[in-house]
Amino acid sequence: MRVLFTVTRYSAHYFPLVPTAWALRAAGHEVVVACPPCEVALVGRAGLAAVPIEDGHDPMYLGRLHQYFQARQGQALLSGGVLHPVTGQPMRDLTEFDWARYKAEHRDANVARLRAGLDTTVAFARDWRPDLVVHDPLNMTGVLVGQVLGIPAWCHLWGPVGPLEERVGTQLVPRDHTDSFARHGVPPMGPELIERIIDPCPPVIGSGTALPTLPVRCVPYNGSGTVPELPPRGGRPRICVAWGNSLDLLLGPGSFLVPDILRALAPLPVEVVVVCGSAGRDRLGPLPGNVHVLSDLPLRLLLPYCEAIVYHGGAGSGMTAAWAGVPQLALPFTAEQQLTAERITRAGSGVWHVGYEVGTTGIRDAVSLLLDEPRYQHNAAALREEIAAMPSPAQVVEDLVARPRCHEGAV
Amino acid sequence: MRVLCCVSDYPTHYFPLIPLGWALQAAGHELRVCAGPAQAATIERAGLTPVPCGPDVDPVTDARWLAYSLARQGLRTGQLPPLNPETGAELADLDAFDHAEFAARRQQELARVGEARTRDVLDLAKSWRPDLVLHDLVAAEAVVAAQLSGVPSACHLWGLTGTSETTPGLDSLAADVPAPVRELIGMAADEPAIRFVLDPTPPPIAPPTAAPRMPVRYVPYNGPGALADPPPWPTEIGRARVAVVWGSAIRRINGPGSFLVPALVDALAARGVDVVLAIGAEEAELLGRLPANVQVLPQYPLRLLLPHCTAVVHHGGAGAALTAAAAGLPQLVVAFGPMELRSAQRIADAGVGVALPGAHAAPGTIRAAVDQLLDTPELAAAAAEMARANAALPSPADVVPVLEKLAETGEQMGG
Repeated sequence: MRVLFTVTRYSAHYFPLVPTAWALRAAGHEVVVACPPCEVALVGRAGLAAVPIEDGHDPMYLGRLHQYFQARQGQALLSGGVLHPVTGQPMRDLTEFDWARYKAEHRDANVARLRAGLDTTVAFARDWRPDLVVHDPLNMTGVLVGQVLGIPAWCHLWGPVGPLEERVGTQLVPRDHTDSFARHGVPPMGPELIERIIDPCPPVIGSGTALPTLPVRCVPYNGSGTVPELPPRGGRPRICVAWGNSLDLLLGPGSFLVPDILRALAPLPVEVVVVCGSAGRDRLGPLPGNVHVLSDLPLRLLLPYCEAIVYHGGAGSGMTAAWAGVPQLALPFTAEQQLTAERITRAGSGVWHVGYEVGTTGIRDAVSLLLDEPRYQHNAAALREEIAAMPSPAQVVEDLVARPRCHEGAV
Repeated sequence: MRVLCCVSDYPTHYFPLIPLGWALQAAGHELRVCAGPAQAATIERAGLTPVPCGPDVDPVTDARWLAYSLARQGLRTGQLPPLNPETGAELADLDAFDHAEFAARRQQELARVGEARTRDVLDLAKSWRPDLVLHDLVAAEAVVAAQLSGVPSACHLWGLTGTSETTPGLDSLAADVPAPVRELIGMAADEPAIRFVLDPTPPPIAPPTAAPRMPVRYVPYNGPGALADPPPWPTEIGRARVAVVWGSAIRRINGPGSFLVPALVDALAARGVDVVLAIGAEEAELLGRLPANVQVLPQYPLRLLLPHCTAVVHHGGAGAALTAAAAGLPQLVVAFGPMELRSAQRIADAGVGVALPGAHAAPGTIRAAVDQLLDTPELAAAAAEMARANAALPSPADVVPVLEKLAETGEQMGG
């Protein structure tokens, strides 16, 4: 069987698909990943063959645009202003970006680019003749390929937010502003074209959509890396502080809470391991002896050796913590992160606070709670067991292959 | 379960077990791959987790050393004159190299590396407590780690080289544990170091193995690759497209005289076939101007290229041979080293290809070999049959339950 993966240009969105791709290859099936050219290296580092033909919008641009419109309605998340949707640079005020003018000047070129990516991927798929498509929730190319070729397209979720959410800012399914679905003679893009999902969440933390669903055990893949030499914990609890890059790109430096988190943890008898991009590391300044920074380390290699995690609300970090059975404090900023945090802590394995409201005392109290109340440890371990009992990617592949054209209700 | 894997410092020796690594990870197991520090990037790039162990070893030096030693013993027939093992320079004659001095020094160096690597692997085994140890043909430190951890071990072959070869140069490759170490770790003198073999070669070309053997379907992985420059996908009707695969280590091990790609391209172009060259950028630069029907695809994943080809020409590397076997293509193997020559012979004996010892390669013999490759329908039929046999073997995913059972009970696998 040949399986085409189509992914958007943000690795955290497609990393959860990687173990499913491995499982397919290991069972003797062929897999290629249609991706934007900028993702070739990261797709390759997962051991997968990239086809750099897909060219959808940068989700960070779309996210900044959303923040910009929210700010225009007086609902900015941060008081420090929003980022320029196109350049990602901080704006002093909203007039620095003129949406109407940007649209007038760039719409045609953007539409042409998006159409070219969609058309090339459809042409490639017609030639390569995949038996099915797997795509991440923000990717509509896979949906189009599925429709045009008449093959099943599986929407592979990354965490607790599903494709049919109602809350503002949590609707992941992209819209087609390029008339491409009509050009290819298929029904218009919309949530109703998402027909089947692969869901890495156990029911207690999942989105609970009514769509035909293949549950898959979360096998965290957060990029390739080498096993780190961990600093000794000296008999004290080890706290992981994980801060992804997405908030920087969406909301700017005002969302970088790591210094506040470190101030909050300073009085506690703990060892701290900070995992953040190298840009974040430069902003931390001098650190006390019990704080260590590891750049770009895959969390799955660290979390099994930690007693708690404090993180920015990204689903990848949250799911890895759930897999490792580690109590978590989520500090979400965006609506999607908040919904993720609400659901992922539903099992009682952690707590969450809005990142831009929590403050140092709030963080310290929450971490103390996670360490002092045994029920968090207990619930996190129970959640880990629940995840471990789900069908592995290897088993899910058997279902995908046995029933590729399954259209009936829940599978 | 936790699986500790030890491999030698040569990517094509561990690429064949990468899909088994994916299978283990996709089944929820954890895997650590021990190798020299210089291999970490390549292992990461396969999606697996490396643990750098011991100093690096340059396998090219040892391949040259083997060639030189065999020549000294008069055991090297049909091969090019050996290079200086240390520098790779051409030698006027065998005595132009102080072999005794080099051998003593290299042996000491390799012993030091072996000790350091074994120490690192044992440290990992102690702290990480694996349930199972996997290793390639030569990684003896894995056997020591398994013995000391009290867990089973299995050897995953990299290709057409087995555990009980009799060819000079191959006969002492298979991992073994020296007597003093056996005494130290409580391993009986007569206990085989390699206890189980996972063999990714399809039956007609499978090498000899002394231990119980479990066949595994070969799932090609030759580096991630990218389809940045897709060739015309559908094969043009009526014209064969032949892939030429040529590893970059050939020249470094066997000298400039071993770079036969130009002669191969000439012979193929003369037959009017389209040629795709799966060779590195450095090799491509040596070629100069190419005929219009010759295309260089340095990054293209071989496994995705071969379904569009009708035959393969290569240097006898395990990756090329097995990927061609999985694709069901007849192969012309132009080989230099003892391992590649032995593989070429197995491929010819199985009737799925043509073997041409590299030292016998001249324009005339190359043309004859190419003609034989393209004009013998029996080769293509037998190769297609071998691909069907490969596809019928248990996949790496199917092997996982067998390894789970092995880890749990220590029970030998069937097959």
